This record gives sequence, structure tokens and C-alpha cells, in this order.
Amino acid sequence: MRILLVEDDEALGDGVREGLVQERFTVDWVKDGKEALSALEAEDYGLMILDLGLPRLSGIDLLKLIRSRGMGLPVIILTARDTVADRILGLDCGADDYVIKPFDLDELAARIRALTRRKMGRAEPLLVHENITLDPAAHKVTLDGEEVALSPREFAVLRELLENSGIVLSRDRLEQSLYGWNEEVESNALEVHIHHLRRKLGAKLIKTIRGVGYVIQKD
Amino acid sequence: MRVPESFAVSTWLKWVDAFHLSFTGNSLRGRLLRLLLSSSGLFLLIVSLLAYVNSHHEADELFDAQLAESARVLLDQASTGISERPSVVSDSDHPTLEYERKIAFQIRDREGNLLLRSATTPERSLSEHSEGFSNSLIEGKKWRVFSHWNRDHTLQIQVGQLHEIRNELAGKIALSLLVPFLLAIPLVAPLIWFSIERGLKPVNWVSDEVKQRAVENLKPIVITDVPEEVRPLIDSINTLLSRLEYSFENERRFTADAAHELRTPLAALKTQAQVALRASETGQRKKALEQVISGVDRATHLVQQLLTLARLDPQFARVENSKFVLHQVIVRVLSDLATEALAKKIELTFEEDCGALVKGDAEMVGILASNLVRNAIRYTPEHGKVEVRIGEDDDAVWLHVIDNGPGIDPEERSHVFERFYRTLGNRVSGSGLGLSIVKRIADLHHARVELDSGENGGGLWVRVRFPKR
Repeated sequence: MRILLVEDDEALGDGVREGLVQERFTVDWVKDGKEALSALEAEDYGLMILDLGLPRLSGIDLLKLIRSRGMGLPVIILTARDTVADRILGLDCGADDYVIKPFDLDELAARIRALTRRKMGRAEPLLVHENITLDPAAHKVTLDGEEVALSPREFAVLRELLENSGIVLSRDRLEQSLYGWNEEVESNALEVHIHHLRRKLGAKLIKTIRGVGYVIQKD
Repeated sequence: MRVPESFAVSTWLKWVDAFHLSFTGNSLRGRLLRLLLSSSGLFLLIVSLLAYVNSHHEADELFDAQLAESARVLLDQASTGISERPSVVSDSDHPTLEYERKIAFQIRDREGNLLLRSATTPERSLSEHSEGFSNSLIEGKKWRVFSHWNRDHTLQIQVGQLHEIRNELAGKIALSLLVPFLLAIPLVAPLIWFSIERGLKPVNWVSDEVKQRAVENLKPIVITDVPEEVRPLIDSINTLLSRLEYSFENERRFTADAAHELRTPLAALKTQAQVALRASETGQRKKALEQVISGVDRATHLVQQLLTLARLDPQFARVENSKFVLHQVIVRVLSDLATEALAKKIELTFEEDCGALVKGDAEMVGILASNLVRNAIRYTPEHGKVEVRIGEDDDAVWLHVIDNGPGIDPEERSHVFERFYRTLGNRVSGSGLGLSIVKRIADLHHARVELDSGENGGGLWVRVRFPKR
């Protein structure tokens, strides 16, 4: 899943990005409200982490703007403003969650997973498909109860497909969720990841719809 | 009926206690009571003294007239039938009036032979004076004497009266005037006390109002119907309260701002530390740990600046005390910052010596200059230029810091002095407090700070003017 991080503080932004990459997320990091707006217009993000005290366009204004344009992506506000009034304002302007600095990286990751679950209409934290189970928090995949070693990218592709099971994901969409701005997309890398997943988890798991994309069918 | 009884007793005791306190304590009530009682005491004293003197005078006149009258009557009667042999007229044994028998007399012929005298009168002459009133001392007693000759100058009469009678009478008259006053005192004192109690009620209202306040209640005291004498007190309390509220509010906001500003560096520290902890590659761990260290440096700088700002509290400022040579302060500041400039290959220049004296605190102006120069070095790219100039004109000593960095947009210039304000899109991590510190120090020195663009339109030109006054 691709996340847009909007944070003007260098050290904090860098830390959050690194931490979320460790959590197998793809992160794009921008440092002001206007940049965030153009990023949202250009790319398809699964979630936004938003600081409020931003130069050029404040976090609250950005949030109001994207909600008025009908962008429904989950938004987590990440801010030093801790008063109840601030929190109410943030949530009422369209945020889905509110995290106060300083925060725990694990908690932030857990909140991201929870929001993703909700977005997909799931309550169950584990992604289960037949004999395959994916634990987004522990980054573990089991086949018939046995743990299967996956590379971070393979894990990300599987998670994306499982979260959207029953929906055909285009090659473009999958690549977008895998690669951030400054990462080079190797040609046919996606096919390689799919190939590895099929080898490790069984050939029938991921279906190829020619000319459209890939899908894991619903149980 | 025990309860009302003990209630009455306790009320009475309370009153007695309050009354007693009024005399001993340093209360307004006590002062008023003491002053009123002692001045009415003094008044009584003066009144009775005057009464005594007056009655004495009146008694004198009355008795003198009586003496003269008696003398003439006695002489007239004596002239008609008086024997050659001295005789004594006895006083009446049972005087019916208090002052009746207090008159003595002698009648003598031309040769001075005593012809007639009253029984209580000594034989020697009552007075040396042969005519009119006189005072004399006989057998240790003071006498008032009236001497008089008859028309053909054959008989002389001397009528005398003891002085003590007059004193006694005057004393009695004065005392009779004083007694009602003396009786009035014990009645008047509680009355005065009660009136003072009543009169000082508004003061009690004010003190109750202040006493009942919660510590954090700094709203002005609102009491209508306050006497004129108390009004200035309430007004100044209210002024003090509003100043206190302002400074508390300022303090509260500052603390909140400061805590708020510390959250971001702390969040960065925690995040980077967690990233380092979870990193599998050494390179990533090293990078995160380096970020942790620079984050600590950043938080330290912020704390340092916060402390500086807190210490600039006007209460601690020693601004008015001394004068110092601005040049020396700038030289010290620049030598401290030279290495930072060198590291960025920035050309740091300082114009020639100027002996100008600035009135104020050398250390604070040093902090001001060092914040300005450090900012200039921070925001100026490598191989840039930072120039410091000082000088004086007719009414001010000035300090200029000029750099060729990105400058500050005109519309942003009024905001940069606000605490924690940072300019847009700058990649320099600062505390956001540097210019607030500059502004605060300038304010304490009544100095003006102006921001302008550099000589050829780029960069920043900061001008500080310290008035000479």
C-alpha cells in the first residue's frame, strides 16, 4: 500500500518514512500542503499521514479541500496540537484518526493497518484465503500453518491482492502501490514477484486476467 | 434556654474581644478608635481647664463685688455707733449658707487702732494697702482684702476673705461641668466604636471580596457603591490584577508553545530511535542513529533558546544600569561565531572600530547580536557573505547585520518576530525563537529592529537602533 506522508520537519519526516518502509509500506514524503495536494491529484494513495502545522497550505485546509473534492482516502493526523478542541476540529474536518507527537512508530503502523481494514470492510486483523494466512502486523505468511519466507516486495504484493480479493488489480495499480517516487521500477519486476509467490504458495492462488491484471478470487 | 444564653455570652465575648483588639492591634478600626478617644479626652481636658479658669474669674468678680459691698455697709453702720474700746463681733454659730461665714473684717481709726473685728479675724492688719483690693499672706493663708476709708477719713475698714474659698467654688463649678462629660465617655466609646464599624464596612467588603477569591481568579473586583477613599485602592488592585493576568496568560501561552515545539523534535527522536532498533542493515541503523544525535542537538538548542528567552524577563533585566562599548561586544560575538562561518566558507566581515556607547546590558545585547549573526550564517548558502556594521548618528547607536541569503518576504517580516514562527520552505532547522529573543532584548533596550532586503535587492538587512535619549 502506498502512503502519502505530509510532514515539514526533516528529521521526523525521515524517521516516519524509514519506519513505515520497515513495515512494508510504500511511502512518498512531501513537506508542504500544496505539494501534498499535487501529489494526491497525481497518484493513488491508500492513506495519508498529515501534519497540521504546514507551510503554504495548512493541514486542516488541505483536509477540507480534499474532502470537498470527494477524495475518500483514510487520513491520520499527526500533530503536536493535543487539546480536545484541536482533536475535535481535526476529526470533524474529515480525519479518520488523530495521533499526537511524540508517538510510537508501532502504534502508528497499527493504526494504519486498522484504518486499512476498515476501508476494506474487514474486522478480522488477519488476511485469510483458504489455507493461506497473512498477518499484516507481524509480516508473516503461513501456508497450512507453516511459515513461508517472503521478500518485503512479495509480501506487499500479496497483501495488496488479499486486501482487494475479488477485484482485479491492474499492473499499474500494483506497481504504484509498490514503488515510491524515488524508486526505480524494474521492468517485469512485478511478474517476477508474482512468479515467486505462485512458486511459494501454489500456482492457483493468483489468477492472471490477460490485458487487465491480477486477482485473488474470493473464497 | 441554655442555647440562646450561651449564644448571647459568646456574642458578648466576641464583641469584648473585638473591642479589646481595637486598642491593641494595628487595625484601621483601632487607630480610629484610639485617635477619636484620645482627641475627645484632650477636648474634655481643655474644656474643663477653660471652665475652671472662667469660673475662677467669675467667682473672683462676684466675691470682690461682695467684699466691696460688705465693706461699705459695715463702714456705714460702724460710723454711727462705735465704741472706743475694741470689740469683737461673733460670727453666727450656725451658718445657713456654705459661703456665709467666710468673710472677716477689721475697723480702725485714723491712728490705726483696731476698733472692731469679726471673731475669725486675726488682730494684725489684713493688708498694707489702705484703699482698694489687695492680696496678702497671713499665717500661711492667702487672703483677698478690700480696704476702704469713710468719707471724712476717720474710719478704715478692711474686709477679707480666704482665697481657698474662691478656688473651691471655681473647682466645684468646673467639676459640675465635667461630670456629665466623664460619665459620657464609657457610653460614647462603644458608640464611636460602633460607628467606626459601620463606617468601615466598605473596606470589609473589599477585603472579603479579595479574601474569598480563588487563586486563579484574576478578574477585576466589581463592587459598586464604594466610598471615594476606597475607590483608588480598588482601582489599583484591579490594575495590578489585570497586569498579573496578562503576564500569567503570557507565561501560560509561552509554556504551552514551548512544550508544543518540543513535541516535534521528541517525536523525531523516538521515531529515529525505533527505526534504528528495527533496522536490519548497518547502514540504515547508522543513519538513524546519526539522526537521533542531531535531534538531541536540536532539542538542546531549543531548550537553550527557551531558557534565554525566559531569563529575559523584565524583572531580571539590568538594562538601566550601565553603558558599554558596542564594538567590544560585537568583537566577542563574532569571534565565537567565526568557526561556524568558516565551516560554511562564509565571508564574515566587520566594519571599523566605533567607540559608541550603548546604554543597557552588554550580555543581553551580545545575545541579540549573536542571534542575528548566527541566523545570517545559517540562512546564507556556502561561499556567501555576512557583514556586520556599527555606528552612531545624532540620536541612536546602530547595529546592522547584512547577508546575501534568501532574505525574508516583505509580507512575512512582521511575523518572524513571533515565537516559533518559521519562514516557508526553509530547510534550516532552527528553534524558531532567535528573532523573538532579538525582539525581546531590543524592547528591553527601547531599541527598534527593522528588516529590509540587502543592498542589491537580495538577502536580508537587519537594522537595530539603540536610542541615546
